[in-house]
Amino acid sequence: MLAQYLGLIATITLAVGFATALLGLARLLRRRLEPRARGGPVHDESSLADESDEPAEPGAFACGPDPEIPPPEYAGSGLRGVAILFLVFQAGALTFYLWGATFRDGGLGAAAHMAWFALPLVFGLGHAWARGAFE
Amino acid sequence: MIAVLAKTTLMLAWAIGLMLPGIHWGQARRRAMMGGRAGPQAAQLSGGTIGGALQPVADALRLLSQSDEIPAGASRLAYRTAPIVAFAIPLSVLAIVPFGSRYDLGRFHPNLVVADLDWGVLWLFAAALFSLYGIVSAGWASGGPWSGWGAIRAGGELLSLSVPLGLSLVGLFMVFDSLKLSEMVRAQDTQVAVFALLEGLGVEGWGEGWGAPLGALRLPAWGIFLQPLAFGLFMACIAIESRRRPFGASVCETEIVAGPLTDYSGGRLALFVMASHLRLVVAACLTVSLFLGGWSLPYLSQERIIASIAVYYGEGFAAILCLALHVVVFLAKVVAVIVLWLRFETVLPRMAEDRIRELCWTALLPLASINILITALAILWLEGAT
Repeated sequence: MLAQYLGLIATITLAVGFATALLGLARLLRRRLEPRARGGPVHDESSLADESDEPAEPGAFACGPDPEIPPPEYAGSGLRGVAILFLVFQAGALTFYLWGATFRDGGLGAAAHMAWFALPLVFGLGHAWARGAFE
Repeated sequence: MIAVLAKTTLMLAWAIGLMLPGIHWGQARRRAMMGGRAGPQAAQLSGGTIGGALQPVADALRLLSQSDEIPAGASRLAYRTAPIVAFAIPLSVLAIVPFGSRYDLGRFHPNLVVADLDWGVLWLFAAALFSLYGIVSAGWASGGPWSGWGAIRAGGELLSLSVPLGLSLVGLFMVFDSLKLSEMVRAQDTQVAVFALLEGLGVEGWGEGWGAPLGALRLPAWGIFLQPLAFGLFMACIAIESRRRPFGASVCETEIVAGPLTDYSGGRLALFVMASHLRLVVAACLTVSLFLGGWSLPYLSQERIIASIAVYYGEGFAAILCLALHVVVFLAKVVAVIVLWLRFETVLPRMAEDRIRELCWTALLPLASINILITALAILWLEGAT
């Protein structure tokens, strides 16, 4: 039973390992190439690239004008409503997946139960739509 | 355990070593063609460009050797882990994709799927939500205004698409009676009568006289034929998830630079670029598996292929040939979907972020619900009639 998860765990582990190795390779390449770019000796440890990942930019975004509206205020314009709707409908959608896969066993009775369950969701969607939640 | 590791390594080698450079090259060529340019020519080997095929290698080296700085004020842990999460999640979805069927090779019974989960398709939905962490935390952790806005756009898009994405496939679950992707593909390795509904309802005279040729018409039982509306809905949802045109307002360069990736450079940016290409590979693999018959060949079921070859060469050799044929067919379908996708992507304009959210809630979600209703009624009608 649990053996079926081995492939998933192996894939995630190898993918994370590959990504980490790639970042390590990038660091190694920078060590090699940065001194050349500066015109110094290749193996001079004192002129290594920025290995410590210290902040090198003065601010979050170094050029261009500062935006008039900071991101948190922008986020309030409609994302919260979408997030709440997502929670409600995703919880409803989860039941549909299992119901769909066992629909043939349940037959008409299961269909009627699901229709009854989905009714408030349909009304909720209609209400949110009418109130302009998606505009 | 060894078999699982071997399958995982092969799958990752195919995706990272072959598909990623291929998509990078194809995308550059296509965009250049649309812009009336010659395409990638800078990377050369002995004076030859080999059609620009060396460009992915050159681009990878360029990105990997770039300086990799963390902006002041960034959340360092989230900034560092976001690219790894963004890269690993699409790869994990590939684990549930069947590259072939199950074959009988005497003592061995290879199953060409890395993780044959009973609820495999649910992992797709889970991964679609997990991918939110990668892109949103990248934008949030950078601390920049453009990154923040990009993260908010990506969050809004992904939250809005999750529900219609899930519901668009419920019709398929009902038709194939399973959540297991390998079983869903196996169920497509057969045929259905085109006018099964009329046959099931016992319409008098159908299939006789002038209707006989039409009555005998059969189509492969592919998802695209059984659930055409679900196919359209799934393609729209998976395109939004892939953040590619006509969607992908979160990385709209003319408005918010590179969105959540604005402050990234070097190896970490390379991981995000690779993740973007990987999402296209995953989208193509899922489209093929769910709607285009996966590894199956139309009108040539696995049993039929093996039986026809086994007459001359024996069961074992026939199974090996069938395995190779199925893998080639699956990969060819995936490449065809990617090529078509890149063609459409370059000619379509990008939709505004609010329009994408509106599309998800007011068009895709109601249509997905209607599809479930129609499918339920059709199944009840047919099963009641037979």
